[in-house]
Amino acid sequence: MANEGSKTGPLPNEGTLIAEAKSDFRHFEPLYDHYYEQIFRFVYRRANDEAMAADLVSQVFFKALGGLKNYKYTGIPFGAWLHRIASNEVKKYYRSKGTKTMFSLEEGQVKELIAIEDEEEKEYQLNQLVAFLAELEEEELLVVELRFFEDKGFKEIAYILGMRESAVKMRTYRTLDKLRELFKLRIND
Amino acid sequence: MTKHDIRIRRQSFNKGQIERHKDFQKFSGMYEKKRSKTSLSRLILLVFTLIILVFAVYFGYFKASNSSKEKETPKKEVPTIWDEFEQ
Repeated sequence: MANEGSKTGPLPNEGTLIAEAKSDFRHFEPLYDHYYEQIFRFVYRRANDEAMAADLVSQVFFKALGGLKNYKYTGIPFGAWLHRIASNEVKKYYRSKGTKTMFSLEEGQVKELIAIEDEEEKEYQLNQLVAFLAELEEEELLVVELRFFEDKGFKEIAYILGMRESAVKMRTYRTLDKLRELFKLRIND
Repeated sequence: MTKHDIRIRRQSFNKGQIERHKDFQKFSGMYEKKRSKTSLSRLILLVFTLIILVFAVYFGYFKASNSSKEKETPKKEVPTIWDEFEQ
C-alpha cells in the first residue's frame, strides 16, 4: 500500500554512518539522501502544500542534526527517529496555527484498497472512509498511516509514537477491524 | 466538527518533484550558518549573565560592608536624668 518511494529500508551500515555524522556533520549526507523522500512524503501527506512540506522537512533534518549527539542507535532504523521528529514538527506547526491537523490520501492508493468493482459505490465508500478517518484519534490515524502508507513494523511505530509495541498492536487491530467491517477494505495485518 | 481535515488528492506526488527540494549542500550551508548563529547568541548570553553576576556580587558586597560599618559605629548614648546624680 505504501508509495514506491517511501518503501525505504534502513541503510546497511547505518550505525557506522551515524557515528561518522556525529563527529562531522558533513558525513550526514548519505542519511539525508536516503531518508529525504520518505520524510518528505510523510510530511506532505500532512501538509498538502509543497513549499510548506519542504520547510518542515528542512526543519526535521535541522533538528535531527542538532540532536544527533544525543541519539543512540539501538538497531531501530534511523528513519524511525526522523519520523518521530517529523511527527512532532507537524504537530507543533498545527498547534501554532491553531487549526485542525490535515491528512491527505492519494485517490489511486485508496481506491485500490476498496474491494468493490462498481465505480459509483467505490466513490461513496471513499467519502465514507474520509469521514471515518476524520473522527479517529491523532494516534490512531498515525498508526494507520505508518502501518499502511509507510509500511512500518510495529516495533518502529512503537518507537515513533513512544508507546509499547503491544499497545500499538492492539490499537492497530482495533482500528483495522473497524475499517474492514465498515468498508470491506483489502487490508492485511 | 471533525477532529482532522482529511483530503483526497487526485494526483500523486512524483519523485522528481521531491528531488527538486533535496539539496544537501544548501542544507549543510544553512545548518553551519544556523550553528554559528546559535553559538554566537550563546556566547552573548553567557557574557551578559556573567556581567549581571559580577554586578550582583559587587553590590551585594558593597551593601554587606556598609551594614557592617553601621554596626561598628558606637551609638551616641542619650543622657538621662540619673546621669547627673551619678556624677
